[in-house]
Amino acid sequence: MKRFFRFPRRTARRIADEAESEFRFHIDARTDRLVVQGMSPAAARAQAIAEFGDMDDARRYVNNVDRQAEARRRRRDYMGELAQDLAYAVRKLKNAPTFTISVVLTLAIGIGANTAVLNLMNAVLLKPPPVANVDELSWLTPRTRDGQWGAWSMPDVMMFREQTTSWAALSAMANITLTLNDGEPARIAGYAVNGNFFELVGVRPSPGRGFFAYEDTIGTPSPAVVLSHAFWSRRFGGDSSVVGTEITLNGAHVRVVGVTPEWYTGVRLGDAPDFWIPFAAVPRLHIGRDGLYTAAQSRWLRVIGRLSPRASLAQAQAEAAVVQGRLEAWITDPARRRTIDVSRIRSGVEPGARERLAPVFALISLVPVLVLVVACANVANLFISRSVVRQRELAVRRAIGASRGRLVRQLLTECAILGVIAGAVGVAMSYALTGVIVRVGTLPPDLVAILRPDGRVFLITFGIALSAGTLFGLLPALAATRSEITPALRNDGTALAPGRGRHRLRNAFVVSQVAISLALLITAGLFVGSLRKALTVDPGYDPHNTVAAEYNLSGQGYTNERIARFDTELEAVAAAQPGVEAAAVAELLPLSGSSSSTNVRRESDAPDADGILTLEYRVTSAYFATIRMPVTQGRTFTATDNASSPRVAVVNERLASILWPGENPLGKRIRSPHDSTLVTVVGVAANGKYRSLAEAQQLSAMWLPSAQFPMGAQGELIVRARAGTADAVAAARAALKAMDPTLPVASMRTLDDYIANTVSAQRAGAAMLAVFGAVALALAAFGIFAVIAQGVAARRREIGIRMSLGARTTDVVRAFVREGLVLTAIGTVVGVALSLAVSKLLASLLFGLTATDALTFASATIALVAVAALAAFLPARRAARVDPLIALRSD
Amino acid sequence: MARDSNGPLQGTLDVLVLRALSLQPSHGYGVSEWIRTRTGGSIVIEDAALYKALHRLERDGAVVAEWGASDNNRKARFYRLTPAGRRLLRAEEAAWHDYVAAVARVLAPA
Repeated sequence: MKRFFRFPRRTARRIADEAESEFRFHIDARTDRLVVQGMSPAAARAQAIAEFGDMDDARRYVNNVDRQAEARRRRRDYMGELAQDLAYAVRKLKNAPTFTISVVLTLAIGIGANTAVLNLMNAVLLKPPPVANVDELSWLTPRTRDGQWGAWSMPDVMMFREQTTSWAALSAMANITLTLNDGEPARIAGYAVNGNFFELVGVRPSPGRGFFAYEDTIGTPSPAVVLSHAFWSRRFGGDSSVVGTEITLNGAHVRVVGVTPEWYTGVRLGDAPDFWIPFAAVPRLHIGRDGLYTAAQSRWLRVIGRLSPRASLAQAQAEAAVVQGRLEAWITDPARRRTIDVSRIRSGVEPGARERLAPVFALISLVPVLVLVVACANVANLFISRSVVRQRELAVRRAIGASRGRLVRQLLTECAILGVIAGAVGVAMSYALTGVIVRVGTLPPDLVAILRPDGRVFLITFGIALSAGTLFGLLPALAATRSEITPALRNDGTALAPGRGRHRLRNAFVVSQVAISLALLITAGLFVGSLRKALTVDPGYDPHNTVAAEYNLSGQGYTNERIARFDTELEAVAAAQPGVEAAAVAELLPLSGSSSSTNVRRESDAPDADGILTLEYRVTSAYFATIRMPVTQGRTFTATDNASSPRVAVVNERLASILWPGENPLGKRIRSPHDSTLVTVVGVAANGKYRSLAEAQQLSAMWLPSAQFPMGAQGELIVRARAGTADAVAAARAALKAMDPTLPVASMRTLDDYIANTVSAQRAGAAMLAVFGAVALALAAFGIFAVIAQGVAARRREIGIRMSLGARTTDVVRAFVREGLVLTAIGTVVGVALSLAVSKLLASLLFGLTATDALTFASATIALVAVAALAAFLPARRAARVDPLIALRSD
Repeated sequence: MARDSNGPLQGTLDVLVLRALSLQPSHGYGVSEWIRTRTGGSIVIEDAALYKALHRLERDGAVVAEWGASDNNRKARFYRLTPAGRRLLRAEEAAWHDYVAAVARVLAPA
């Protein structure tokens, strides 16, 4: 049954009163009746009461039932009204498509930006890796006293495995790259792990199995490997008969014992391993220098553990710290002992990277929040405009009896509908935005795979959408329902002009929008400037026209002598290729992301002195000429610096000035960190950048001739062409082919690319800031536009009067533009102040640029003012088109 | 509604009340007098139970109540059958007749 009116609500008190009078009426009526039949009034009343029975019980019962009935009725009323409100709201929104679309799009932009960033944060910092009972897993990581995160050596790991009881299982992990020699040779990347690894992470390989204990005992006769599902599908077409057969890795026969399930993509994000192999099998694979497994100095392992059910994390931490203390008992200086960090695995990002990423993400997440604030200000402005238009409608509804609460509920329903639609559109937008982030940021595939929004993100997004829509829609609505009824009903235009208070609110919104967009623009400008500056930094060599080809000999079955000779021969072959200006071979490249450090001591220092931590590069003799690294004193290496001649080194200016301040370093001797023989300094190279273009401190570095300090199986062939990189690429490829046609080339990149890669994070940040800054600017422009347009519409009458009194159109237009520019000016002042405050926080992320770079501030401000002026001018022009006669007649 | 259960008697009371109201809207006292007259006093119903039934039927939507003036112009609560109440009455009547027939068959001499 549809009811158009509502029963008045009954309170508990009212219900009780009504039952009371109902009963009283009954007793009275029955008494009267009995009196008529001839009883005395007293006897009649007594009988009536007796006939009634237990009145207290009836009263209790009736009150109870009535209260239930009342609650039911209220619920029904409420649902009925809600349905009415919904239908009404949908009708209203349909009738105002411009308003609806503007609000939905504006909110959706803000929500989409937030969802995309939240989603990325969620994936990187909160999504646990695909393993069983992840809350029992932890990383054990050493840290130096100044907070650097480090790695373990195999003897360290053995100590932890033997001397702790808090962990049910511990396994070391190391990234290794191997050559698969069967068929077309390929470089594949995976992990060396302990034999208990798969039980530890709770993954059961299928088809096949995990490792048996004997497969991870030193000298095992049967090396085994487990392949990842992705690699197995890619390389073997998902053929289960591969399991149980032998494949050739780095020249050694290894049996494939299993394949991991498809869902298992590793415990670390961004890895996508191809295989897992027990540590005991690794010596057969001849990777890297000798002693990788036994030497206490080769720290290259990370350690993962599953806590035993009896141990707490704190106990485990304490126990590990005791073992760590024993490990480093020999270090006399307590400041040089490392501490140990035991943290639960919360996502595919390890604690060290987490620590680095968290503040960056905090900063990144602030940006879309600011965009959302700008968007909300716009939405509020749109609602204000609309409430002005709707004032009369609301007044009419109040006049015919709608309560203020009911009107507010009605408006709330509209806001909620808009919020929900905007949320849905926002989620769609976040997909698009995530796509952009994936492309700009070149994210690893396993991260991309988990970037799908999950329930948490979805809930938060809708929470934001609903509360933003409601809050910013309701504030102006409340103001509208508070207004007096009569003036709004009066049929003159004046009531339609926004009130003074509301006008001030709108202006405040516009000012804050301008301020925030300016802050975003300036920050974006600072980042872009910093990026450009970083790319023009002199790395200390000339990266143009040069390519580096990475090769690895470990899979070729070479003898150690053959490996040691390889680099010198390759250098000569490459240099002889057509179009080549110079060629050299190096173990590692500067700015490549990997580096090797040793402690350098002077000849005069005590043998156990700490020495200077120095980057060590092993290179062939043409290295300095090929990458054009200036040698300022002495000489570079020559062919006579060979295994039988006295050992020599080139140091950089920084190391020379630390070891021998004010002295001539040439001819001075340092102790070889590897075998304590003496090495003579024959040259000094100019300082350069080694780890990052933005490195603040000048690092020490030294170069050793590979003829005296052999490189190992892995190297980089560097070729400089006379013109362009195409010749260099062809020459590098031809040279490697000439040396060994079966040698796979892992990667070939220009040195310019290496340098660009070192700033890829900054580039992604700058791109994101620029995009969000532009979005905020567009929203702010839209806000200004809306305010001026609304002003023009509301003051048509006034404009008409002025123009009929002789005002020129240009005066009128100018007045409106001025209004817009005044708001912009105030916003600019606030925005500059805001940027100054924010950029102080950013100073550490900015390279080569002060946080108050005047040029950036000025150009961002000019851009903003220009856009603002345009946004004010377009609607103001409409004022000039007002026909005085029509304007005066309107309303 | 286990709390309200008075066995078959409650159903009896409901059907009597619905029947009384099907003739014309009435206040509780009117229903009470009607039952007294119609049964010639052979079924004695406590008024307390009657009012419980009325309010329960109101809650369940079988009747609606409104305040009005009684014959001698006093304020009284009048109950009126709703269409749902009318349907309920028909169903209850049918059930009652079935019940009576069943009991009659049991009691009939073999």
